[in-house]
Amino acid sequence: MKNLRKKVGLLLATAGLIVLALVLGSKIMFAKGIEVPATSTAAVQSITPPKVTGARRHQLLLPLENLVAHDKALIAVVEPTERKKVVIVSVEELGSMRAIEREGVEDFIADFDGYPFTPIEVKVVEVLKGNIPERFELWEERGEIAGFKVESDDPFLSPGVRGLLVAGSYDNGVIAPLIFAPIQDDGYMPDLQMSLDDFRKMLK
Amino acid sequence: MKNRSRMIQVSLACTVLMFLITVLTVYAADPYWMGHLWDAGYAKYKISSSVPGQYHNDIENAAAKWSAPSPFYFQKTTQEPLYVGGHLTFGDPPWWAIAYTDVWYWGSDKMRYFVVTFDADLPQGWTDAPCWQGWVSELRVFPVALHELGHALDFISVTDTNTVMYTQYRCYTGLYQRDRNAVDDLY
Repeated sequence: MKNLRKKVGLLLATAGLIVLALVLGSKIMFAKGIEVPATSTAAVQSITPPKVTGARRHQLLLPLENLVAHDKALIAVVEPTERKKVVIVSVEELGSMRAIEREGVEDFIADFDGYPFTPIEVKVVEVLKGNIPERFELWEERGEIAGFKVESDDPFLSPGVRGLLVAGSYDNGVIAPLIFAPIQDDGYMPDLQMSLDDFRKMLK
Repeated sequence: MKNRSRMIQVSLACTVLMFLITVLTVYAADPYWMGHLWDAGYAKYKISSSVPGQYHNDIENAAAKWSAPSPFYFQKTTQEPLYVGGHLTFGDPPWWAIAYTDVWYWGSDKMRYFVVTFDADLPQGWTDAPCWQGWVSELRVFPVALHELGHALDFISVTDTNTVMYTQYRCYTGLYQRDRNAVDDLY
């Protein structure tokens, strides 16, 4: 009888220690950001992954010559007139605008209800390439919604600053700014290290 | 005598001030690191099955280049590193991009995940040839992987030509001193 009690006590103590080790271990792993393989034990799988609070997209553009020579490139001298309120697109809509790699990302891509873009209205001063209306909207991949902040390498367009715009259109018609080079009074564009006239020659 | 010592003091102060202004101007005009760290001191990466086998070495070499300068390292894994890392894949970026990287954060200063996507349908094609071989128009996987893995360290593209984070494609054979210093300072 005494032996049985001893055995049960020992068993309970061991089980308690195992549970304690799992709980403490998982907390330490969570705090230190240690990788948890998907095939790990059930106890570890129950950890809630840290909530994503921001994202940034970086694009490595085609070389300038190839970019402006592309038949889908939209090129104009523009003047941004207004930065508008952030627009929220659904994750599905974002997926139709550009491929979102979902492998391994599904668990936290669901953390937010939408993805922010900031529309900028621009007035066209001179069309250099493409079918461009007098006024249109560009969407910068940038903005904040409910604690989720998105940034990107898209140029930041300030109202009143005239510049050369190279833009591209997503399949759904949304236009993305790719390059925006402010133009000085003498026509020089420091960002591209060339004048507007030289750029026109390059386009021909 | 008093005037002379005062002049020396003023000259020294001016020199220090000019040095500080130069440093601040360079870094303010051309910021490099955006403020998020892999707080474990490393990041794992998985090469997705969409990446043709001939480019795996280039990616591994690029990861090794970033790992060499400091205690920070990229470590290859075959499992999806959900907490400390990301993956590289061949996919379908918009027509204007050769490649792109999405990085995801949590908290105010912690990296969570990254995805590097190379354009699988690049018209001029990819090559694993070194910079001095093959056609100039073909894009090399190694320098692009080097640049994109820089983004995975939360570095942004800059106009400084003395870093692999230069905004446009160039055929790098390794890191610049500025890149080495940056990783070294952070980790």
